[in-house]
Amino acid sequence: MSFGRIRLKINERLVEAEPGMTVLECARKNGLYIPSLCELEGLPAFASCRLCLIEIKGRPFWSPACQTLVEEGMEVITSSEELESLRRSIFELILSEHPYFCLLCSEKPICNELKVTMAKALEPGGCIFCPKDGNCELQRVAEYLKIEKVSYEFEDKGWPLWQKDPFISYNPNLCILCGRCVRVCGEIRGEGVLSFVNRGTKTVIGTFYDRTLVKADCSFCGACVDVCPTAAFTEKGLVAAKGKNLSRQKLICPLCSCGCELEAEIMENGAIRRILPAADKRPAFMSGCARGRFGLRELLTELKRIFKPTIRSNGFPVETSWDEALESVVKNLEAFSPEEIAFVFNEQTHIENLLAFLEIGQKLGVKNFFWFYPEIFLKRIDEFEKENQVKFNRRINPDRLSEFRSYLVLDSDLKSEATTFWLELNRWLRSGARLVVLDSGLNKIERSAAVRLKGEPGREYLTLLALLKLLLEKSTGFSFYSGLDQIVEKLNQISGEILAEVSGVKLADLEKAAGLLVDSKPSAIIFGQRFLRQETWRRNLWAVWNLALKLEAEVFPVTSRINEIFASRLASQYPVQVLSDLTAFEQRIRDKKIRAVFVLGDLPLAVKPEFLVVLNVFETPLAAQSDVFLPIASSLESSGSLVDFEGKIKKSLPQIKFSENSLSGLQVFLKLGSRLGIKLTLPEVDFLQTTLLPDKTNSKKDHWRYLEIEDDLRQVVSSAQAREKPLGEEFMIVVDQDLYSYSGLILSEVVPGFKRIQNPDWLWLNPADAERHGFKNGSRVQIETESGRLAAAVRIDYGIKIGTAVIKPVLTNPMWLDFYLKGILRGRLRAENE
Amino acid sequence: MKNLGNKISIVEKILQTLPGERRYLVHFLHLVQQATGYIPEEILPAAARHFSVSPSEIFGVVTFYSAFSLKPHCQHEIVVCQGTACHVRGSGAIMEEFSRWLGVKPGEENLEKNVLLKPVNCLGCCAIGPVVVVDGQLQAKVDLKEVKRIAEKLTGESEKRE
Repeated sequence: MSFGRIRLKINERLVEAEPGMTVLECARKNGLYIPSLCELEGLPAFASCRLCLIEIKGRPFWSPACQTLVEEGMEVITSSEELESLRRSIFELILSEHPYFCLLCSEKPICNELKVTMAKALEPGGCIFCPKDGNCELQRVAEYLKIEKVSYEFEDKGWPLWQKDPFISYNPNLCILCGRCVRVCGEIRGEGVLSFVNRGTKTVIGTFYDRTLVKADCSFCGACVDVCPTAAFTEKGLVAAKGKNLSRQKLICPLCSCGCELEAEIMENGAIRRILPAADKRPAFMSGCARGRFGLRELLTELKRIFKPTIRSNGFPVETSWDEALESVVKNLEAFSPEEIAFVFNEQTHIENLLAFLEIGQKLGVKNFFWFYPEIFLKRIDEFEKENQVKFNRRINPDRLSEFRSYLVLDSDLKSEATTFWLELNRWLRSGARLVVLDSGLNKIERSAAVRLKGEPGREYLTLLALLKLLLEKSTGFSFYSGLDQIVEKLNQISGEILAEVSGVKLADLEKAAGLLVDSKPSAIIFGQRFLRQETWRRNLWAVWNLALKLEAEVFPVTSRINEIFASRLASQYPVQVLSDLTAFEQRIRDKKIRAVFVLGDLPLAVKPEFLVVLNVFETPLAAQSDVFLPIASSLESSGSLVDFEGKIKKSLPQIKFSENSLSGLQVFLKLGSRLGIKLTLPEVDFLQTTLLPDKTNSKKDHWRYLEIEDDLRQVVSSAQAREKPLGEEFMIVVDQDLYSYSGLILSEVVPGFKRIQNPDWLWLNPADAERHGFKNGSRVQIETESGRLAAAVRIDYGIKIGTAVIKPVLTNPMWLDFYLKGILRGRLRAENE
Repeated sequence: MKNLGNKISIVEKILQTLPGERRYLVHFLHLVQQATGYIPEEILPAAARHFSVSPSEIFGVVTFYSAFSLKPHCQHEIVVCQGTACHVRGSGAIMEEFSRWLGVKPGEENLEKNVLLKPVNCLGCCAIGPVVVVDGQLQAKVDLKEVKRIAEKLTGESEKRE
């Protein structure tokens, strides 16, 4: 976009600016510093600190530079005696509510040697313990303004500190009410946990009824910590590090498809001080979440890990040397014929490890390669494409979201499944794009939606057909693609009211959604793994395809696991089969068709094969059963590459070492290869970007057509009506994805803080349902389904439809896997003590 | 608690009459305040979902405006305007007099006499100040004698002077 450039004068200097830029942005771009404490690049301007006041010729009053747009011919003065004295007075007022001795202290330069300042800041600990010391934005402004005295006494308000939550702590007495955290929490992240509470001198940052962050439904993304100019919001337990030699290591988070670039702050003794989102390409608050920044650190530092391989002897795992362990692997594998060996991998590891694993298997002549992929997401899209000769997008580029004016999101809580994708989407929502969310489960982005379509689980197909019908009625215009007649004819057989009723969505909402999609073109249709993890997945894709053609919308299937795209490409080029349901696989083990299994990662296997090798970061239950366990370095400790939802290869080169003995996966495979007399010819990773992961977009659209609706809609509707459930007795249980695990380890089981944020045994219910059954938050219940029973703890959430329940199990046991593969179950709930 | 269930159903009815848009939030809170005398915590999560805002945002609004209260209050309410126009006409003294009469500070309530004394920043009718609102009834140009009359009428007792 270019509307020409704007020319203005800043401090007599002629500068150029883009239209829509603020004076502050323009000044900064030209290397001019204007002090500001509330403004932050990427955050909506707020003008609360008043430090950026500037003079504009011809205007009677000072204007805040952060909220003043540049204009042609404008003449701006950013610094004058008057302005600086004004700023000093404002800053002194700000400091009257923040301990300021740390800014004025004459001993500041040698503070570390003297350490006499214990009580100077009038708060326990004093300034030498302030974790922000040396990095505090107040310090920078104080330096710029050359503050030597503050005319007001520091008023210690004595607010209680927030210390009851995991990971994040807040000290209101250090807060200058710049509002950055409120804006990042509400507007950028769409969480809305933090808010200004009270008015005037009593204003504080607060939560709903002063609840703890846990009870206020905080996701602990940590963005408030990233933006806080002072030490008000910090990582819990973080101590001062000024003067200490900190180093930073870049790493890629392996916990979801975003592959966020993180930075670990390492102390001199090698311990990780904290993990932050890297801020070189985008603002820190635009990526990262609790899993990466808090989960990874605690997983890798708090957990007791095994670094030496073990061999089972007399039924017990015994530590041994690498040579012996690998010798045992080789010897045992050689005892089986290649047909009897299965190589199974999990994609949550460096792609170098995956490639080496496959190569070793191939050189051994192994015929059975499996990718354990219970989401089956990309596989189903592949299948559908083949069956119908259509093509969906694969590589999802979030930068392209700016091209759309409306988004239709289907069964995907982007906020937890693909955080960075959501943050980018939300950015365009702020500038006027509209969002329609169709979700039968729990979806935290619903609050940002203009229309929420809350349908019956498993009937998304019908909702989409109803939407299509309304769209056809609203915009009867010509469609570029053929085959529409059949669709219209089919849809005419049944009324919109009935379709809406059966799908469980209000007709008025559907009409609103259809109107919005027609009025805000172009649209993007976005769906996630849950949308295809149901019985009706084929119909769902049918509906999406037809809807997309009618709307001329682009379709974005968003993957949720790291390397998911890469592994699916591997599966198409190597003889790799997708393994989701383990029963057939387990039967083959029982039938002795498969006798030896080599697992890279984790697998909820119920049967132990004759010989089991596990190569993983942690000693998971499967690893504990294995005959040989080969512990490898995590992706934080070894360099390697991961592939994100865009299909982009991201390399991380961290050198954090937790043990001298730990080897990376690749090192283990190289050792194993040389023992087998195989020289691995690993492909260059950069080369893979163009060969295995080419950036193909759908170019040929001319032969596209509407896909026929094969079902007799009247029959579908009447059978759906017949299956209407008696209210209150049965629940439709939506099985959502839980991304809170790493290499088979459940974060909440290992990291105490996660126990309070996300547990795999939680069950979400609508408050009305909970009340009717007499359940409270935390009530223990039994879920009874045809597939078995499961214990759970109730969580009440207004975002759940009545008659629906949501669970987010982790795939570490066969029962959970079974539930997961079904996607949607019918079940009853009973209080546990009944 | 029985009372609360009743209040929740009143609020649900109010919610149904309002479109689910953010701009109706303050209006909604006024209606709830009028109908129930305060803003019950229990109703806010449902309201937040209805208006597509976060519960904490509603909490911010409720705590910002003194027109909303988080706790149930006394039967009677005396609101004394402390805006600039009323102030220069002596609303300070009027507030003090009420304060002395009821034995509570501005913003507090006398549970025995069942009266809440509340300051407000401006009622928008500065021409007839000092303004006092007694149980929703606007009283214009109030003076100290008037204070006595109002207080006696509300509490049903006359002042005992030492």
